[in-house]
Amino acid sequence: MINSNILIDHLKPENWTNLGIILSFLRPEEQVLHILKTDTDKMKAVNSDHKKVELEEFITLGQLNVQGIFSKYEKLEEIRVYTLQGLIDYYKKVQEPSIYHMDIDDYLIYMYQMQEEIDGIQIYNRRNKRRCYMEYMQLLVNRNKEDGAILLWLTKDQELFFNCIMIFQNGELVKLTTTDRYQEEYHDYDKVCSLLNMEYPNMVKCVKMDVIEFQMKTTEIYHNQI
Amino acid sequence: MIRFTESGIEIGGVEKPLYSGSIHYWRVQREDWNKILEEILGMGFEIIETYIPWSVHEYKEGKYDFGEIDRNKDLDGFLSLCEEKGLSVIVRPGPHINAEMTLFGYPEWILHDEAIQAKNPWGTTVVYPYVTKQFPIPSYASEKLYEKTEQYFNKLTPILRKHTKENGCIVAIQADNETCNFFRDKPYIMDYSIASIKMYHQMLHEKYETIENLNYIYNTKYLVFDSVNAPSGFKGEIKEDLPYYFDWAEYKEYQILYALKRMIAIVQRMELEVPIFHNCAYQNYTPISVQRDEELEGLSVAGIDAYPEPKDSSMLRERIRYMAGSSRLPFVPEFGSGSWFDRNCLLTAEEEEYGYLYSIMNGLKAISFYMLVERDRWTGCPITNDGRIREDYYCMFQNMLKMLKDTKAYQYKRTPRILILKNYDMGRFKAIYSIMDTNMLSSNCFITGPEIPAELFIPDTDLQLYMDQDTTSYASEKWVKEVAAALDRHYYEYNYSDEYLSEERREEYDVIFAASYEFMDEEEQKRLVHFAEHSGKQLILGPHIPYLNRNFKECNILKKAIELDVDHKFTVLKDADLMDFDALGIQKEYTYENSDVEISVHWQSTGRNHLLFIANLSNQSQNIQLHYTAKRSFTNIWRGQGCEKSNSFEIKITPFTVSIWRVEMEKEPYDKQ
Repeated sequence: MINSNILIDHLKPENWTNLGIILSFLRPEEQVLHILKTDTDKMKAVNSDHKKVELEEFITLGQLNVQGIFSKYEKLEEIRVYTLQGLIDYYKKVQEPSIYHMDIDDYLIYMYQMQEEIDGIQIYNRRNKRRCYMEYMQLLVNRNKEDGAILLWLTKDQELFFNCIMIFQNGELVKLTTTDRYQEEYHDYDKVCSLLNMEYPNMVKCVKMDVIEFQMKTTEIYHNQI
Repeated sequence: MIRFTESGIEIGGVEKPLYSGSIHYWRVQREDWNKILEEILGMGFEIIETYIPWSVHEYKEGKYDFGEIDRNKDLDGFLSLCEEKGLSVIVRPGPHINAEMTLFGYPEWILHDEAIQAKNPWGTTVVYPYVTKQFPIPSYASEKLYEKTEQYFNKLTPILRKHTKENGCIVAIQADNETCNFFRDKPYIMDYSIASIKMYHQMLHEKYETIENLNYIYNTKYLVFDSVNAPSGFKGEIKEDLPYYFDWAEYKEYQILYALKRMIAIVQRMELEVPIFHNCAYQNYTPISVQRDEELEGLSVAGIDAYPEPKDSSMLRERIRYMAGSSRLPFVPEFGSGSWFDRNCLLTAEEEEYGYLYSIMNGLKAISFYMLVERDRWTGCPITNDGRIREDYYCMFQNMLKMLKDTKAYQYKRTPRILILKNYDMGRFKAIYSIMDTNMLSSNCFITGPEIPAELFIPDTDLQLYMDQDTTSYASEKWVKEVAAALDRHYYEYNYSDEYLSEERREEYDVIFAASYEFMDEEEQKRLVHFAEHSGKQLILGPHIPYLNRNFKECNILKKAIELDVDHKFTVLKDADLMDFDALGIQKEYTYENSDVEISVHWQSTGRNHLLFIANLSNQSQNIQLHYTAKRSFTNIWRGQGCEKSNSFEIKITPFTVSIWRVEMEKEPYDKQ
C-alpha cells in the first residue's frame, strides 16, 4: 500500500513533532514476553523492557503454563516462544529474494505472519491483532484504499496539534504531506478541506477530532479485536 | 592547496572555520536554486554540502542523466551556480548515501545483483526494512560492488574536476557514508557471502601467517586457513576459546576498513586534489574506529555524525569528547538540523542551538548541518523546499554563525589534562558473547517489526572472566561511567579515547584513566606502562589488572610495573567514589559548586586570554558563582547575564542554554615593564 517512491514533503515542524505521540496510539504491539527454549528444553525469558523474567513457577513437566503467565502479568499482550532452529528458519525465510517485490507494509505483515507459521516459534495472543499501523489508520478514518485524499486533523485544547494529508493513487499511498503546503491557510480546517476538494473532486475524506478522542478510538479498535 | 587543519579547513593558505550545511540539488526545483542559495548565504554560510546519488544520475543501468533529461539533476549547473555565488562545496558521492532515499542511493539493479549481496549465516540475504521499501544490503567484500561504483564515479569525474583546483568550488570529498553494514554492527548478523568468507580467511592468514600459529592460539588442528568455519554465534566453553570469536569481531572491523580503503582509492583515482574525509554513523566501538579510519592512506579526517534528542547533553558530551580526544579534527559531518520524517519528534531552534553550542563547548571544531533545506522525507530546516524561510531556525543559524565567526571561536582550544581511555576489547567481548544475532526488522518509528531482545541470546557459560554489567551495549562500561561521573562531580574536564590512540596524542595529558580488565593486548599494556614512566604523568587503572593478553595467554606487563612502582605513578582504582582527586594536582582556572552547570575554558593559542563556555544542563534557571585568582574582565558574547565581584563572577543562565564569555586577563605589574 505504501508506494516505494512516495513523496513526503511540506511537513510543518511545529505539528509534525507530535508524530511520535500519534504513532504511539497507533502502535499495536504493547508488552511482549520473549521466551527462548534451548535444545535441553531450558527456557529463558525477557520482556519488552529488556528485563529477565523468571519462569520457574509456570513450567510443569517441561510444559509452559501460558494462561498462568497472562493472569500474572495483566499488561502482557503476547508471549512468543522460540527455539533456535525456529529462529534460524524464520530469519532465513523473511530475508529471501521473494520478499523484495513486496510493499513495505505488506512485508511488515508478512514478517509477523511468518513468525506465526514457522515451526519452532509459537505465538500466544490475548487477541488477534492487526500488526500494521496503516490498518488501524484505515479503520480510524473509515476508508479503504480508494484513490483520493484523506485529511487527518487533530486538535488539542482547540489548537491544531497534528495534521497530515495522505494521497492515494491506484490503491497505494503516494504522497504524505501536511497543510504546510497551503502556507497561509495552514490553520484553517474548512479552507484546507475546500482546497483539497478542488484538487481531488469527490475524492476527499476530511477527519477532524480531538487528540484524546483519537486515542480513545484507537484504543477501542485495538481492544475490540477478538 | 586545500587541507584540513586541526581546527578547520585551509584553502589557498588561509585557514577558515568549517561550518557547512546540506542541500540536495536534485530535490529542489532548479528555478529555486538561486533563491535558496541566496538564503543560505544570508545565514552566513560560506560552505555547503551535497550528496551526489548514484540512483538519481544512473537512472537505468548504463543510462545517465546529469540534467539532460531532468534539469534538477544538472550537477555541473549547480556547482557553477555555487561558484558564481562564492560558495565552497563539499561533495559526497557515496555510493552509500542514505538521505532517506528508497534504496539509500544505490540503483536497484546493484542491490538485487546476487554477486553484490551480503549474506546472513543461513544463506539468504540481509534485509534492511526501510520505511518505503525493504532491500538487501550489499557486501563490502564484493569485487563487483567496487567495479560498478568506479564506473559511476568515472562518469562523475569530468564534472567534478571542472569544479576543483583553480577557482573551483569543491573543497572536500567524502569517501562513502557511514560505512557500517547499514547499522548492522552486531557480528553474527552478516556477512557470510562467499566473497566475505574468503576475505575472513585472508585476514586470518595475514594475522597468523602460518596455520600452526593459528592452531596454537585456537588450540585446533586445521590444515589450512580455508577450513576455518566462521562462527555464527558464541559456542565457547572456556576463555581459551575466545580468540576464535574475537577474530570474527575483528574481521568485521577489517571488512569495514577494507571497504573504506577501496572507496578512498576510487576517489583518489578521480584526481580531484581535495582532501578526503569520512563520517562514521554513531559508533566509537566495534566495528568502527575513528583512529584506524584516519590511519588509512589518503583519508585526512574521520568524524562521527550526531542527531541528539531534545535537551540531550550526555550523548553529545561522550561523543564530542571522544572525537576531541581521538580525531585529527573533531568534525561532525552530519549534525542534525531538522530531521527525517519518521522520527518521534523534532527539535526546536532553541534545542538545536543548545546542542550545537554544547558540542562546540566540548571540543567540536568542524560541523556540517544536515540539512539546511527541507526536502522529500526531511523537515525542520531553516529553509523550506520551495524557498520559504522558517524564521526561528533561520535566525538561530544567522545569529549563531555570526557570533562564532566574529569571536573566531574555532581558533581557541580546549585543553583538558585528563583522558579516559575506554576499553575497545570489552566492546568486542560483549559483541561476540551472543548465541546468535538477529537482524533488526524495524526502522525508526513507522516500521516496527517483530524484534527480539538481545538479552535473550546471552550465553550462560561461565568463562571465569569479568564482563561489564551492561552486556548489550558495546560502548558503555560501568567503570568508565563511574570515573566520568566522579570527574563531573569534581568539575574536571576530560576527553575520551581508546587503545587505538597514538602514544604521541596520549602525551598531551597529565592523567590517564584506563579501563582495564583481566585481559589486555600486550602492546597496549606496554604503551600504558610507557605513558606512566614519563615525568609528571599518572596512570589510573581499573576495575581489574590484566594477567592475560588478547590470546588469553599469561601476560603480566602492567601487573609487574605496578608491583615495581615506587613513585606512585600507577593507581589501581576499583571504586571511583574513593578517588582522591585533589591528589591529581590538576589546577582549575575556575572553581564553582553547581552540578547542573558545566563550564569549559578554551584558550587562545598564546597567552591566558580565553573563551569561557557555561552550559546550564537543567530545565531550571541557574545562578552560578565562579571563583578565580588572577584578575580578569568578562565580556558577554552569547546569552547569560553576569556580574563581576572581587575574584568572583556571578552568572545567571536560562535552562538548556550555553552562555559564552570573552575573558581578558589583567596584566600583572611585571608585564607592564
